[in-house]
Amino acid sequence: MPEKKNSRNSKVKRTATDIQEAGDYARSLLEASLDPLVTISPEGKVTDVNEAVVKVTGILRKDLIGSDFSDYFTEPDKAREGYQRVFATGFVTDYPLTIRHKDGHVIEVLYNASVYRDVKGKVAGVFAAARDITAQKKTEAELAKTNAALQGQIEERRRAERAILELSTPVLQLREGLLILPIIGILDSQRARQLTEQLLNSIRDNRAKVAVVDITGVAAVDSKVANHLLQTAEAARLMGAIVILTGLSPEVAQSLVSIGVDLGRLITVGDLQGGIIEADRLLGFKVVHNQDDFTTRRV
Amino acid sequence: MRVPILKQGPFLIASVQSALTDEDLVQLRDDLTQMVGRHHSRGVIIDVTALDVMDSFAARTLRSMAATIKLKGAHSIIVGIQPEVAFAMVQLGLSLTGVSTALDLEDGLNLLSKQMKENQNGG
Repeated sequence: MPEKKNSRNSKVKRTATDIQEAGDYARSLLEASLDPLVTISPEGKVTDVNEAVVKVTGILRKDLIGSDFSDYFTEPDKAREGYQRVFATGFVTDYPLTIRHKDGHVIEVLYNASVYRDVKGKVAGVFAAARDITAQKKTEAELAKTNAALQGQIEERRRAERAILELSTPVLQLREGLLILPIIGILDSQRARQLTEQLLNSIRDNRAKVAVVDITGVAAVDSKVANHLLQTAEAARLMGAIVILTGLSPEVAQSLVSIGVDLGRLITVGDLQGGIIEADRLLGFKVVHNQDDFTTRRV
Repeated sequence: MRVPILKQGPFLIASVQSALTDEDLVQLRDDLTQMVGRHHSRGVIIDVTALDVMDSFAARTLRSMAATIKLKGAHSIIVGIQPEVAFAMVQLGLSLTGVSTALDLEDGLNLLSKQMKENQNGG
């Protein structure tokens, strides 16, 4: 009979130890957590805290327990609304609040909270965990500043590009009724459009009948650019002017033929000199070279 | 609104004053055809300086106008297409192929006179 009593006692002692150990283990985890953890009663009072809460508020544990949860925030009403929502819907995630430390500085946090129940299944309170996002917010602010600076740089760059565009497409009047457009650099859709605008306006302003467009200085001419040039020539024709395209290198001519662009409607001449001779012919100009005059003037 | 047509020697000049409805365009075509016949005109100038837009119907009608007038022995020239209109037209693919163009009334008349002289010398 004494053996049975002993074994029952030791069994009870073992179970009690297990329960104690389980409890200690759980508690040590909560205390070890870097995130402030609180439990809130249905009346809005703090019922339990971990060490992180003491640190983030600067208030002693004994003073925290039993106080109003909303007392420790810059927006108490918002805090109250938060835990009330948890009681109502069961949980809340990423709820932003600002904790005020005893010494005055603030900490931006996001709250994850849910209800917890007793053994009978009745809601016992809200368990809330806060995540410190102060560093995150600072990074966000810095990023915004960098973005603004970059935007400024982009604007400046665009202004510079526009200035370059205006410089590099001059429209020159060589003779009455004859315009020359020397194009240098990259001819993209935007530039081609600008070129066409300038040309058409110049035809009207100078009453030009022929425009020689020289593309010796254009790096690459693909089918898109070729079509732009075709459109430019057609628009000029609607205004009574002829476009002569000059400066197609053998490579460019080759690539256009292989792409299959029909430049048949466009007048093309190998180089600028040839283009001007053709333009003179169309306009009825005759250039006379007086050799003797030239020799005398040289002295 | 009926487009006014003036007679200038052997030529007719039609000055479009404002945006034309489809009916106005058709009316213009009929009026011009009729007057070319009546006056035995040698050339027609259609001045569209006042037009801000040119749609596909207008472009088509102008082409058919020129073709019809040609059949009656006169040459047509469209003058006064503005830079913005010219640009918009080529983007939409309205090219007025087969129709002569000139910058303005002065250039148009010069062109017609030159052609008439060539025809006289040739024929």
